Amino acid sequence: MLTVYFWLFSLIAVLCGFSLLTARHPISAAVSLIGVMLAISGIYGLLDAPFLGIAQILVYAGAIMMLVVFVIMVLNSAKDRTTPRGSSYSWIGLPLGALMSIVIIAGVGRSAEALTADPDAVQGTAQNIGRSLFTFSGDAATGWYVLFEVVGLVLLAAMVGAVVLAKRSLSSIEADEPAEGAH
Amino acid sequence: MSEPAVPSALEPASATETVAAPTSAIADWIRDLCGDQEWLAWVVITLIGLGALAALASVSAMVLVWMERKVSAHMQLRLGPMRTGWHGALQPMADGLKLLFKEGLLPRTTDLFSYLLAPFIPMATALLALAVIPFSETWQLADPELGIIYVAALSGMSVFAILIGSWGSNNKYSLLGGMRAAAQALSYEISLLLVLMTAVLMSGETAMQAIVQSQEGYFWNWWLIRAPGVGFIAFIAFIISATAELNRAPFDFAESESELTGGFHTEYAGMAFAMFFLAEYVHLLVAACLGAVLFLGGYLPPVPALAFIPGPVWLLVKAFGLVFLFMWFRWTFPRLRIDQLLNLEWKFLMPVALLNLLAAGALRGWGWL
Amino acid sequence: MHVNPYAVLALVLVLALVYVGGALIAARLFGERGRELARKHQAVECSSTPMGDARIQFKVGYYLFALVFMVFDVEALFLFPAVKALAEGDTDTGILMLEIATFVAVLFLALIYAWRRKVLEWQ
Repeated sequence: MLTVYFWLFSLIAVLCGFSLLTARHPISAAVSLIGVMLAISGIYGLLDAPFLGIAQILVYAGAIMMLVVFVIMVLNSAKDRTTPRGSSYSWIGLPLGALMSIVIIAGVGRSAEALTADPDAVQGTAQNIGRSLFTFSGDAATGWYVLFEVVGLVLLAAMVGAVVLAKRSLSSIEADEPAEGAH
Repeated sequence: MSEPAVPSALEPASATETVAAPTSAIADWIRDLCGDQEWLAWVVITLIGLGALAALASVSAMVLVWMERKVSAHMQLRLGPMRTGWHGALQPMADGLKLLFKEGLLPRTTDLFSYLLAPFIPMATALLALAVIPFSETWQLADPELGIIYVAALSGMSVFAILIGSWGSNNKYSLLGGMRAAAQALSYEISLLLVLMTAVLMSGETAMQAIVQSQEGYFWNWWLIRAPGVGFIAFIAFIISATAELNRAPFDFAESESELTGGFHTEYAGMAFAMFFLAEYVHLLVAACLGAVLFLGGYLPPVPALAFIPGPVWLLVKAFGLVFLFMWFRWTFPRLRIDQLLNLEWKFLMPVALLNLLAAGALRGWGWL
Repeated sequence: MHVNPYAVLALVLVLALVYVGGALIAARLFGERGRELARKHQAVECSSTPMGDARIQFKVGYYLFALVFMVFDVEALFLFPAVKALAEGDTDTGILMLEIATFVAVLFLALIYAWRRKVLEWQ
């Protein structure tokens, strides 16, 4: 049954990826990307990494895609309604993409055995992640206490950077157009 | 299924354990019938479970629609629907039939793909969330180990229904309502996540069934009461953020009728509208059940002596009590302005929920829970 | 027999698609088919002819809220394993509490920063 699910999720992911590439409007592309992410989180669930799968839905499919959709809506999609199917950039992009997929397929093919789920392996549940992050066993702390705090600092830095950039672009947009254009 | 976690090294945890109803009478009977064919028994039980889920969602949504209309009416000294059935009890059924025979309009200006995709999303998230609610020790379709955060992820996804639907309809009212609703749902998602994590900290569990089990005994073992102060604050924060996530008054910016006609579903007619409407009430039921599971002991009776009344009854009694509370809010508080709404979240509710989480951590850390 | 609960949830997703799809198709079959009128295919604008495109440019404020949300969403997700470990109680709770408190304090700084820079004001 796992194989059936695997092929199903992979098929959905590939189809959504294809529709992402051929979508003519950024919003349709964003919706397809959400589909890709949901399918991949399904595969994480099959690989006994439910925490990763749910993190994928919560952060990538939820938060980041929401941000992307907002950016598309804020960046006045009406001006730039559709993108043409082919452009001069495709001639650079297509060979590079083909090369990349050959590399990935070759890499996956070589290590195919290592990628199958092992039921006895450690599972990526929140419990196990919590334990391996914060184990304090015996004489030595084997956890990742400092790195966890560094993550907090990185988030703070991300916030400050984003606010600085957004405030700058906000003032430049307001300088460009009268306020009546924005709702 | 719910044996206590072994505090040893990294053991393969419960990700592959547990599926529907190991011991209920019907399940046992089906297993007997199927004999050695274990997979057949599983398929049959799962199919029955799925059917029950769909039936529960439809019936409870109809009951809730009726209840909303009656509660609203009586709060305004009206009678509400009276003619279809006993006190208008068949009114939602009649409405559903009417919507079935309505003409489905498809405006030419829509983006067809997003317009047609949107009605699927709210029902999908509602059913997916309802599937993990435990109605008794055995009546639960699936009990993922990360039940709590799974529900939070779903509530994040349901925002896309509003956003994609409003963008797809290409209508000014829809888009304004959709963008407002998205900003609101994003903001309150944070406090909802923090409250859910407070519940994890209080109970020490992340699976729904285990959280209910951790409140075994008398009603003062419910997390609302047992964690002094912390549980109560978390409950209040949960109710506020759930009201906002559900887009219910006083936070109903997605469809503030007096400003935006129908809000994000202005452009939907007939059955597509019915799907949004139905899903809204299934979401209401899910939120109420979640509140009951996290803070009010779920399917457990308040006093063990009352255990002869089955679990699903207790859960539904508690959930409908919370639903009544949500409906009461609607006629008590006037709609906020959007800046008030965002201030309430970012400058009050979120800091409070964060501090409350720390307080719960302190209680747990010093072994007072 | 052990079944991955997420496999059952995938079936629930299929159920939801069938449920909504079935309802929409049923409405298509039984639904009224009125006369073709150009007005029926217009976007609703309280019976006046819609003017201009609905997809206008939205305020940058929405984008800022989405940004702040993302930071706190990731934060909540990172707190989750820590909270779980604390609730399990098989690690040094004092140190873990200090850890979580520091983490939360750093994010409070982020909130205060956003507050001071007036990102949280709705203009």
